[in-house]
Formats: sequence, structure tokens, C-alpha cells
Amino acid sequence: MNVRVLHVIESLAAGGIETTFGNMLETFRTLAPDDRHDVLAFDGGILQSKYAATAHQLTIACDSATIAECLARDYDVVHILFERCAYRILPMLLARHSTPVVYGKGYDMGGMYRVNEGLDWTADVTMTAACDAVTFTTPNLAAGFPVPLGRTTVLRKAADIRTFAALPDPDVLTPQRIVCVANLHPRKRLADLIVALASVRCSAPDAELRLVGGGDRAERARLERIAAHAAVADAVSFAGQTSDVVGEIAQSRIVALPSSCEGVPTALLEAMAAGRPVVSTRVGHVDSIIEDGVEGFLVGVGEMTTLAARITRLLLRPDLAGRMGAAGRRRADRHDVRRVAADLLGTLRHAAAAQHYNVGADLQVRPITATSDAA
Amino acid sequence: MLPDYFRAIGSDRFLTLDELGADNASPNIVGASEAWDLYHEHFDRFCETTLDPQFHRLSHPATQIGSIHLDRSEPILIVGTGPSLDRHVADLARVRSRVRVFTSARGIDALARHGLDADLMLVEHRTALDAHHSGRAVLDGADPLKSTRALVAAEWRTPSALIAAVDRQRLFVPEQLPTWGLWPATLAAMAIASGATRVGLLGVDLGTAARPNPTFAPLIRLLSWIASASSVTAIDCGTGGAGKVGWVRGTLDDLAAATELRMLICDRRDAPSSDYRRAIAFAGISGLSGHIDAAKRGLETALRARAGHVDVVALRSHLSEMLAWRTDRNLRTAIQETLGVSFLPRLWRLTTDPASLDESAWRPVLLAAHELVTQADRLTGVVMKEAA
Repeated sequence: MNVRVLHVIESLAAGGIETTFGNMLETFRTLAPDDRHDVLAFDGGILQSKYAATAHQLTIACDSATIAECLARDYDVVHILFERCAYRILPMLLARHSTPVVYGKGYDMGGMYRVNEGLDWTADVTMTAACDAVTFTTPNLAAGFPVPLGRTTVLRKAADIRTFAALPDPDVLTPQRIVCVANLHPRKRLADLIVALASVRCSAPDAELRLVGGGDRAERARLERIAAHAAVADAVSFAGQTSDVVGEIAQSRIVALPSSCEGVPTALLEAMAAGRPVVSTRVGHVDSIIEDGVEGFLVGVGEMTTLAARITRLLLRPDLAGRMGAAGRRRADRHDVRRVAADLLGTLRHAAAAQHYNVGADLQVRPITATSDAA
Repeated sequence: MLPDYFRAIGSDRFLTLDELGADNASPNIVGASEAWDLYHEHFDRFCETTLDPQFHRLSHPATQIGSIHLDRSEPILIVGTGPSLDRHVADLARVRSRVRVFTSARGIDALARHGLDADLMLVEHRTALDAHHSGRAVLDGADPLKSTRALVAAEWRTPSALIAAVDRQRLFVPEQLPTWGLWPATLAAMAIASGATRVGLLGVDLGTAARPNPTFAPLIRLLSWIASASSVTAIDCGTGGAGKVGWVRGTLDDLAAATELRMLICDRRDAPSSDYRRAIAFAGISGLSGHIDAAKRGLETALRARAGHVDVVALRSHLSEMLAWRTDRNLRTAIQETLGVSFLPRLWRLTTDPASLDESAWRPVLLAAHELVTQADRLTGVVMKEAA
């Protein structure tokens, strides 16, 4: 059965979910060319041309009339990403239409704050309960929502890892560079990495830090002041917002992320796919992709001494870094966006099919547990 | 002045323009249809300004309620963080003592980077998620409220973590806030309601003159409506931003007063104690007990249907019962404002015929009942815990 799907997304900005889902749309076209995938975005953004080229129909609107018109079209299933989209459209959608609804619950703002700070926002729990099916990014995230197993699909965090997987391992010519791919925002705690670098350079004097990501000018100025104060200004560089993250990772030995608030960071999966060991804070559900001591190291938020020690160890022990890098490549392969897209498409098809035989019954969606994922 | 119905519409207490008209005998109501159209087109007829789903009102640290008073000659400048702020910040520094600056928390931060401060900061968020996001910035160490000398008006829904560092002498809960949930418009309305006749914008760009940001269309329309409905002198001092009907382009010198302004006047009185607020919450839940029980029955039926045991007649009956609550405005207001629920109030605003729904009727029943019951349980837990 071919399906007609309306995907609803908050914006087409260059965010993690938006980028990943854009890659999934491309995969859908390859997997099932006769399906129809329309997209309703509340706001445009830098990914607009990519979405326009991939979706059968792209509508960018946030006014009530256009949204209502989109929802009234003949779809087999509506797939909603982002809690803000679900919050806006679910009353209208569920009260006026019987189209099955699949809610993609990932690490949007509500998901992130839920796992990092215990934010208990009832509306989000209600929305997962009232949809026909829910996909969760990780089992850890699913665990907090009272949705029956039969309506739940646990996908994996997806990343487009192809170009990263093609990178060779670091060699003797690779600089002693630690790369961090993150926006310049206080939440990312990049200052911790700069302070740790000063300690690292006591044992590995050639160590340098490359911060890859755009952000607030004031935060960059603050980080530059901290680097100068820690006497590592000449060893810290800023790449700014760049489309060549692959090139930045290629010139690194370690990828680090000292953030205080995350879901499952795409940047870490990309680094793992490139065979780089990772050092990250133990926040959000980072531990769903990294086992401490296997693909890299996990440290507590703000534990700069430990952070520095783990980075130093990896720089001084290329054999250990190589083993962890290899483990990371194996782990990241399971998160290839093409694999995850196939599972999501399966969920959408099941939800669409269910309306034809038994609307009220629990959908027989194949639950992908952490165990079966690993298998 | 701003028509009374501005605040009335933003309070989400009316379902139709006729209902609003019946409640407001003011002749000004004649002009309300334009505002109502805006409310319908861009706010889905639900601004959420009275929803407090996290029950922050019970732990709000303010001890005073206040309202500002402005002289007609005082020019009010509403400062946002758009690019025009940086372009004109030197001019702002030059005229600073001759304009009254109102802004947001991010605006305070942006001004501080240029060595400037505001007279009044409003803490207002459209949704609970937005409020939590702002509170998170404090955890990240970016707490602009620590160093400001401005008066801080923080609505009841503000997370206490966000304003914990604010000097209590400068903190108050704004009384009768004229709001539709979008802070620049709220500040403009607040200034006009407090007596201002000259209002300006800086850094409230909302896109560019050539390409207004569609995300800000509701705010652009709302600012335009405020300017036209209030007959104030409205000046957009930020060159390059999106055009707003009714706001003439001008300079900060065009807005500024000829002489320095005196200190901002704010009348304050004691706020209700936290014990009193808890008592009100408890009374609210008690008054709704029959409806909460009805919602629980609806929730059970919906959950059974979701599991495959569909009783369409019962589902339609539950939905009809909850939708019928819309005919009682006091009940509607009590449900919205006591429990902070969003879904049932928004179902009241849709033309939904339960009889037209098939087996999928479990979904709207579950959406409305689950949130209502969960919020009632949570509020009961919070009130009981704090009482203990």
C-alpha cells in the first residue's frame, strides 16, 4: 500500500531534528518512490531548498487558516515532529479528522528539559497519550511516557554518517586537536573545555582546541577572554558556523562535548562514525550511544579535572584512542539515517493501515527495544 | 487610551465576539471586530495568557502587586534585541535620560553590554516551555536580572528560579496586565494604559523592511492594531525593520522628551500571601470536583477505547458533556485558570460535532480529559504538599 503522509515540523532552520528529518525524507523517496510525503513547516529557514526538493509539497505557514487547510487534505497519516507543532494542531486535528496521527517524540525542547531537568509538562504527556502512535528517539525517553507498548516505536537517534564514515583514522600527521562541534551558548559550557585544555597542555603541549559552531558574539568574546586568562589563547581557534564539519573532524584526534544539557547529540554520532573517540558529559541520554570506556569517556558536568585527564589519556595513548574509535564506528553504524528512516516509514505505514481495519485497537507497531536494536 | 476589550480578548474568557459584546457595554466594543479577527487569524482565539500549567503562581517570590503611572509627556521606548538596537545604541545612550526604557530580560542583557539599563523590565512568556527555557538561561549563568536597576514586573506565571536573584524592592506582579502574550505588544499596551501618549520601538525589528519575518506576523499585526486603536504617537526608531502599520519611522530624537525624566512611579500594594494563593487554588479544585470526576470517567472510557474496547456512544457522550461546559463562562474560566489546561479550552473554540466522530472519538476525549485530570491531580499534590 502506498501512503500519503503529511509531516508537520516547526521550522526549516539548521537544527538537529530538522536536518536529520530532511535526510530521512530523502531516504523515503528512495525506499518507496510511490509514497507521497508532504511537509507543513511553521517557519522557513536555511533548509528550505532541500525540503522543497525532497517533499512532494512544501507548505510554510503558521496562520490558522492555512494550517486548517493543510490538515483537511486527504492523508493516510499525519506525522508530527516537535512538541510545539503537536501542541498547536492536535486539538484541531483530533476533533475534526480521523486521520491517524503519529507523534515523533524526540529531543525537542520539551524532551531535552524533561530528561535533563525533570520538567514535567503535562501537555506533552497528554499529547503522547492521545495520538495513534508515538515514536521515541531512545528507550530512555520512552520510559517516562505512559504510552502502551503496542503504540510505541523506539527508533534510534539518526544521523547522516556516510561522509563521516568514509574518513580515515587519525595518523601521525593529524594534529593533536580536540574538536567540539556545538553552538557558542553558555549551555554548552565550552569554557570548561578551554580551562581543561590548559591542564591537558601540561602533558601534551601540542594539544589544541577547535570550536566549531556559530552563536552569540557575546559568548565568543567571553570564551576568548577565558582562553586568554588561561594562557591558551594561541591554542584555541573558532571555526564559526561551517558546512564543512567533516573537514573539521578529519583534522581532529578527539571530539569533546562538555555541555550541561543535551538529548542525544548528532555531533557525537558523526564523530564516532569517523572513528574519533569522544569525551562527553553524562547528560541527557548521551549514555544511550556511548558506554563509558568503550567508545569514549563520560564525565560529570563541570568536572574539569576529570575532563582534562580523559582527554590527556586519549592524546597520549593512540592505541586506546584507536580502539575506542573503532568501537565508535561500529556503534554509529546502527544510527545511520537510512536504517532509522526505514523503521520510521514502517511505523507510518502501520499507523496508516490500522485505520482501515481497526481504528480503536492498539496498533501492532513493531517495538524496537534497546536489545533488538543491538542485535 | 486602549479600549477595554483589548485585555478582555487577551484573557481568553470569551468564545465569540457576541459574547464579548454582551459583557462589555462600552461603545468602544463597536471597533472590536478588527481585534477579534486578529485574535482568530493569528492566535487561534487562545492567547494562553491566563494559563499557569506549572502552578508557578503558588511559589512566586513577589510580595507586591503594582501598576505604573506615566505622565502624558513621558516618551516610552520599547527595546528589543533586533539588529537596529546595535545600529542606534549610541543615539540611545545620548537620549537615555529623556526616554523611559521598557524591555525584556534579553533586552536588559543586550543593553547591559552597552553599559545601559532600563526603567522597567517585563517578564512574560507565551507558554510554559518558553518560561522554562528562560529559567534555564539562569542555570547557565546568564542572569541579566542580577545586575539590573530596573523595576521588574513578573507576571504570576513566572518560574521562581528566573526571578530569585531580583531585589524584592524592585520586583512586583503587574496588576491588570493588558496582554495577548507577546511582550513588546504587552509593554506598548501597558504604557498606553498607564497614560503614555508617545511610544517608540527600537530593536523590535521582526524581520526587515523588505522581508518581514512571517513568524512575527501576529506581533506585527498586534502592534499595528494597538497603534491604530489607541491614537498614540507611535514611532519605530529602528531603521531597517519590518514595517508596522500605524508606526511612523522616526529617530530617537523625534521620540525623546526635551528635558530629563523623573523617576518612574509605580503604585504598589501587598500581594496575596502564598497561603492565600494556595487556599484559592484549593477552593478552585474543590469547586471543580464534579467536573474533574466527569473528566475521569471520560478518560477511562477513552483509555479503554484506545486499548480496543471502543464504545462510540459513550465516547460521544463524554465529549458532548465536556464540550457543553463551554456554555458556562464562569466554569470555563475556572477550569482554564485553576488547572492551566489548554486542550479542552481549545476544543471549546472549534466547531466540533461529536456525532460526526467515529471510533477515533477516543482521541479528543483523551486529549481533553487526560490533561484536565492530570493537572487536577498535580495541583492537588502541590497544594497538599505545601500545606503540609
